[in-house]
Amino acid sequence: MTLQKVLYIEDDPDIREIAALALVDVGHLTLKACESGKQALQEVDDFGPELVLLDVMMPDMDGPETLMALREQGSITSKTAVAFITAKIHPGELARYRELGVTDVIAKPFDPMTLADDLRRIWLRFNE
Amino acid sequence: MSDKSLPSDVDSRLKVLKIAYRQRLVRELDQIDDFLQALRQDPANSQSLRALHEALHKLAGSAGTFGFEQLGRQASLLEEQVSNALAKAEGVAELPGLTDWVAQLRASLQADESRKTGLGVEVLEQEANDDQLSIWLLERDTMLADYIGQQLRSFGFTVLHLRDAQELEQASSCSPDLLLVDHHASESPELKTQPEAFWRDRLKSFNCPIIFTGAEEGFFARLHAVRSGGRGYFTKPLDVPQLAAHVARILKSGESAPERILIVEDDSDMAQFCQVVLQQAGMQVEILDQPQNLLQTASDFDPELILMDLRMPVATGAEMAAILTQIERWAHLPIIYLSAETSAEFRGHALSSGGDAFLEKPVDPKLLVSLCRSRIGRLRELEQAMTRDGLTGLIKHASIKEALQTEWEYVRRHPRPFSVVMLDIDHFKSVNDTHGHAVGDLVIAAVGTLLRQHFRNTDKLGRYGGEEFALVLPDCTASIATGLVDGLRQSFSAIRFMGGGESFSCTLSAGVVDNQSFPRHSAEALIEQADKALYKAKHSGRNRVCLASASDDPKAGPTNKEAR
Repeated sequence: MTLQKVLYIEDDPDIREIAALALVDVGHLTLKACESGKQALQEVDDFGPELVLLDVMMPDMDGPETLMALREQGSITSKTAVAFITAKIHPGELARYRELGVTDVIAKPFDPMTLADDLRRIWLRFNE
Repeated sequence: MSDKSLPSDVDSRLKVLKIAYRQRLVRELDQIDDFLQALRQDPANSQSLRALHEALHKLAGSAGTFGFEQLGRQASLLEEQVSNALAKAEGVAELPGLTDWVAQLRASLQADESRKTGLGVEVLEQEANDDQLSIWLLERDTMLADYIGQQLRSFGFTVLHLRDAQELEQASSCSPDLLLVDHHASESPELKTQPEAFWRDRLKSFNCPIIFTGAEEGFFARLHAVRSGGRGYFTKPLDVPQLAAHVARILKSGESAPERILIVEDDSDMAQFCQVVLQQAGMQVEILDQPQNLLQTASDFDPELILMDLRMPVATGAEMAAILTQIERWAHLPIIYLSAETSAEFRGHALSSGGDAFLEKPVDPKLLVSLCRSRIGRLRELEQAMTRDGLTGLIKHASIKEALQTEWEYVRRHPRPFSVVMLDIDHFKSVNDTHGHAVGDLVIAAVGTLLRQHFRNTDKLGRYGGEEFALVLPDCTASIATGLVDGLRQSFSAIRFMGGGESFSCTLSAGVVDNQSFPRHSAEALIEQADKALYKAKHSGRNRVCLASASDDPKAGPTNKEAR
């Protein structure tokens, strides 16, 4: 199964815009971008993503909190791949993220030309 | 990151996003500056520290995506330090170099922008300034655009290249300081049939000056440019140094200080009417209703023009004008009479006692503004011509020496470092011999343009003689000055001049000295030291910057009295 629908939760509007360019125009994926965990919780089920990409550091609900809330309401299943995206990653945090069931962590700043490929690789690994 | 081989619409959207992000960076760096200021006052303020951390984190995560890699890396480094301070719950008093953080971020940003030229323009070791002027270059020919962009950047402008009118349209949510437009830069059929209307329409949302470029020469090419909304027209192949000087002049004139006008009028309604009209036109206005306070008010406010009522109770306007003309400082101050008087004899008398013109009551607002503006504009030009060198726009020999003396005396009362730089174009005589004096003048003018772009408003920049320049840099040690001048040297060597159909480049040498290395030297002696350092630079191979050192000079010893 090829990756098609990606949900991206990111509070920075400029990053959401360039991510849309990177994933939709360059990567030919279908994207739903949300500005907060709260918005994602409301809209995730109508969209039905195959992969959820979450910014780690966000005001109000951060990435891990959003992920747990999404799991709790049943919006993320065993079929949904999850990735974090963050500027700073310490080894200890990576282990913690894996425990949360995160397939991989993408480093910020990302390259808009290769972001879609990175997600496809994560998707392949998730389905192995 | 490469944006090659992309569909052109994605490419141009990416560009637009980058432009918008670049504008946001200015705000974010200011905000970081604010947080740092707050922390300097209160190093233990954990709220500011967390805000700073968040801002740096954001920057670290986003800048690279938009092509500002070095800025992102720098932000990430600083974030790490703040993050450690937060973890240890200690203040930022311990963080090294806190005061330089914003300067470091700005320097990284500038490095990113210079690097984007991809043409090997060296990064300037200079405090980046926000007020760097931005030029948008609309040009079909990518190679030509790269070349022009690199050249203009070496004059200190930031340059964004757009390929055609369509890209311009998508980018028009923000705005440059100047647009440089290749008048064929569109595939639109409308450009063939109605070029003037086409450009007027495309450019109508830009308030900045617009200059057109094209291969055509002559009257009609220029007329087309004017009718298309242009402020100027340059023929290709472009003479970039000349273009840069022109651009710098246009942009400088826009940022001139508001005109200062003193209204002497006892009728307060009339005075306030004029005040409002002039203030709306951006001028500074003071009203004097007690004629006896004229001299005090004039010396406090330092007006550039006086609007004078002719009939006032204590003294007439003509009498007041006569008083002013007797005082040297005010002898050439333009005076415009406000009067309902129509008698030719009365008017003649008023003019002979020192006034310049009459404006009849009721005063026409438009005429008032344009009369004041044009008088002051010409006064300013005259002053400029008296103190500035016509070719370079720099201060003349005598005035730069005076500026040095003033600075030298100032630091005796308020100790602070300052540097003196002597600068000379290498092998200038052979430029004149090979390419003629007109081209030589162009090279000299380019140094002038470059100096004004690279240095602060508070720096004194002078043309000392033929191809020699002198700079006085307040609040600047010799080592900082050396870095700045070396940046200038590198930029200058990157400029290509045209002479007799071939292009060539020039280099320059400089000698730097500061007052702290030679505390006992007079202003005059500092120039001598800078000159010696310049000769050292010349003799050790030119195209370099040398620092004057006390060991070179037997007179610099502490036992010596003030050296002459």
